[in-house]
Parts: sequence; structure tokens; C-alpha cells
Amino acid sequence: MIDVRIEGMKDKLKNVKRVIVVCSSKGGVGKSTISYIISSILSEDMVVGVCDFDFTGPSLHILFRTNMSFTESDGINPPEIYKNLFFLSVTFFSNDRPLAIRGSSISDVILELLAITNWNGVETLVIDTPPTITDTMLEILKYFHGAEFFVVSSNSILSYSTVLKLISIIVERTGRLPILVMNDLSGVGFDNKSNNTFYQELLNYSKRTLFFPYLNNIEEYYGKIEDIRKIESIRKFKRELDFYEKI
Amino acid sequence: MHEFSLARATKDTIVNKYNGLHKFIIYIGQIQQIDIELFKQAMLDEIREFNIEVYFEEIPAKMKCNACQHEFIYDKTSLNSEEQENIHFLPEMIYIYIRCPNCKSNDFSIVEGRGIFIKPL
Ligand SMILES: Nc1ncnc2c1ncn2[C@@H]1O[C@H](COP(=O)(O)OP(=O)(O)OP(=O)(O)O)[C@@H](O)[C@H]1O
Ligand SMILES: [Mg+2]
Ligand SMILES: [Zn+2]
Repeated sequence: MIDVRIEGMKDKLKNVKRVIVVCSSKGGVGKSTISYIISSILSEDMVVGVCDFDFTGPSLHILFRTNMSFTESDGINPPEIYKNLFFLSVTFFSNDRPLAIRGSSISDVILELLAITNWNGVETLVIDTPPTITDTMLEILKYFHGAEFFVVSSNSILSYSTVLKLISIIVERTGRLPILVMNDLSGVGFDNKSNNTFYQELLNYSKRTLFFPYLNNIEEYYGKIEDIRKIESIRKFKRELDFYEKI
Repeated sequence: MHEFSLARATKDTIVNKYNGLHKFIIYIGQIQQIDIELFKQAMLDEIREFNIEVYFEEIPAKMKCNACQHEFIYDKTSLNSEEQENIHFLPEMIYIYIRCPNCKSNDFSIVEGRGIFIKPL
């Protein structure tokens, strides 16, 4: 017996060229913020889809300050919440009410969403994920072998040691090194930790490290995609991102 | 309606996974609230040029409460049309809109009647 949604998902994703999975085994390190900003800056140059796969703790609708929902035609069409930026979230169906689901249902949610969603011209898909290395991450690792995993760490020793474990699992499952995104969550930079062995190990263990800047008053930038794109430190991050892509 | 998408996915499964086989049964979980007639029609259109026979069986939805072990069926009468529509698109929304009739918990599992599966005959 075969679940027909697997072929459905492949068909719907066949024109998506690039999948970026923003993930971390550590919570609160900035995955959603980074998903928000990466999709905002990438959509300057290409058609981007952004999905909130944190089903029980969705945040992207708040970051984008959107209450737009899908339209329907032979499946669902994610709304274009900004020029060349399409958005998918369970909040379309939950009306943002609390959802508690067991891990065994996560697989169904992912398959269902991806089997019915039309990505209409989307070339790059950015996926925000919940913390930990449980069902959502395992399902993504199963279905998105070719994805680029952007593993986010904050500048804390606890984060380094936890994130190393996720990196090791990604390497084992995909056979490739992920991209490390060091998020300067506290604004103190990374120099003070440069002698830490976990930190050293982390840098050695990733294909490339991107440094994500500390953002003062970040909440004032929610839903202000044009303003985000103008922040100098974000422009610098974008150049790093473009550079990484070319190598 | 996403019946057309599901019909295409079913045809793709037959072509890509069961190449060479001709007779199938398609199990349709009830929670999905698929319009069976529409799905059948869409399915017949999809396989028109193939030498394939398909049968359909709807599987009633059965839930079991993880808190009190009570078994119950999907009763949509208490739901408004928007809630039903949300469950139609994403059946796991049932955990938001439905409670165990015995103990009112929303910690239950769908035992049967979820998804669309295909099996060769
Ligand atoms: N670069 C940054 N500069 C300033 N504040 C940041 C930065 N990155 C994240 N934050 C803040 O840190 C907090 C956590 O961020 P966020 O919700 O994006 O993390 P997360 O990894 O998605 O969390 P969760 O694990 O709960 O999904 C938020 O208050 C956010 O505004
Ligand atoms: Mg998050
Ligand atoms: Zn109960």
C-alpha cells in the first residue's frame, strides 16, 4: 500500500530549484527571524516561497505581519504577501488557534501540505523549522535530501554543543556539510568565544559559515520588507549569501 | 477543490511505482472529506489512456483517545462550514476542532480513515 501524497508532493515541487531549510537543534536562536530575513532579501532577485513548518509554534505570520490566506484552484495557492514572495503556514487552517499534535501526525501534516500546494513559479523555497531533532526535522531530512541546511547557532557554548549534534546528523543523512549561520543574538559578537573548543569544532565542521548580524529594535522591522532590505548589516549578509551561492 | 491534485498524484503513483500492474484499489480516508464522485471522475480522466482498472473504498474515520482510551468516530455535526473546510484541506486540524466525546481531551489519535492509499489487486 502506497500513500499517493508522496508522488503528489514530488509533482508539486518539481519546478522548485533550491530548498533552504533553516534549522537548529537549539530553540530561540533566531531560526524564524533568519527565515524571515533570508526570504525577504532573496525575493529581491527571484521568486521565493517561504513555509512555516513550526506547526505548533508558528511565527512567520507575525514576522511578516500578514493575515493573507491561500486561494483555491486544483489545490491551494499560497498568497503573494510581497512582490515575488509566497507564503505558506498552518495558520491558514488553524485560524491561529492552539494546536497540539503528536509526532506521528507531523508526517501527515508535511505530506498533506506539500501534496496540495501549488508553488506557481517559485524557484527557491525557504523552510522555517521548530527546534530539536525530532519528527519535523527527520521528515525534512527524508524528503529533502538535496536541500541546503542552514544550521543556526547563537553565540553561547550551550548552543554550540547542541548544534554540533544536529550537524553530525545532517552529514550522516545527506552526505553533505550544512551551512552554519552564526547569529549574533546578544550583540556581543563572536570574538570572545573564538578559543572555545566547541566553537572551533563547529567552524571546522561546516561547509561555510555565515555571520548574521545583531539587529537593534528588530521588532520594528516586522512586516517591513523594504526597510529590512536597506539595513546596511543585512546588505552585507546578503553579499555573503550571494557569494556562498556562487562557490 | 484539491480532488484533481489527489487524482493526479494517484495516477503518478500507479505510473511511477506500480508500472506494469493494471488493477488497483484506492482507499480514501473519510476525515479528508473528499468529494468521492468528483475524485472518481477526475481519476477516470487521469487514467483514460492507460489500461488500468480502479476500485474505490471509503474508510470510515476512527479515533482513539490517548487520555481515556475511548474510541469514537468523526462527527462533524458540531463544526461550522469553515472548520469543516479547514479539516478538508488539512485533516490534522481535527486536533483543534474536535474533542474526545468521553473526556473532552484533544489528545487522541486517528486510528483509521486518514489519507489516500493505493494497493494493487
Ligand atoms: N540577529 C538578531 N538580533 C536581535 N535579536 C534577534 C536576532 N535573532 C533573533 N533575535 C530575537 O531572538 C528571539 C528568538 O528569535 P526567533 O523566534 O527567531 O528564534 P527561533 O530559533 O525561531 O525560536 P524557536 O526555537 O522558538 O522557533 C526573538 O525575540 C528575536 O527577535
Ligand atoms: Mg521559530
Ligand atoms: Zn478521552
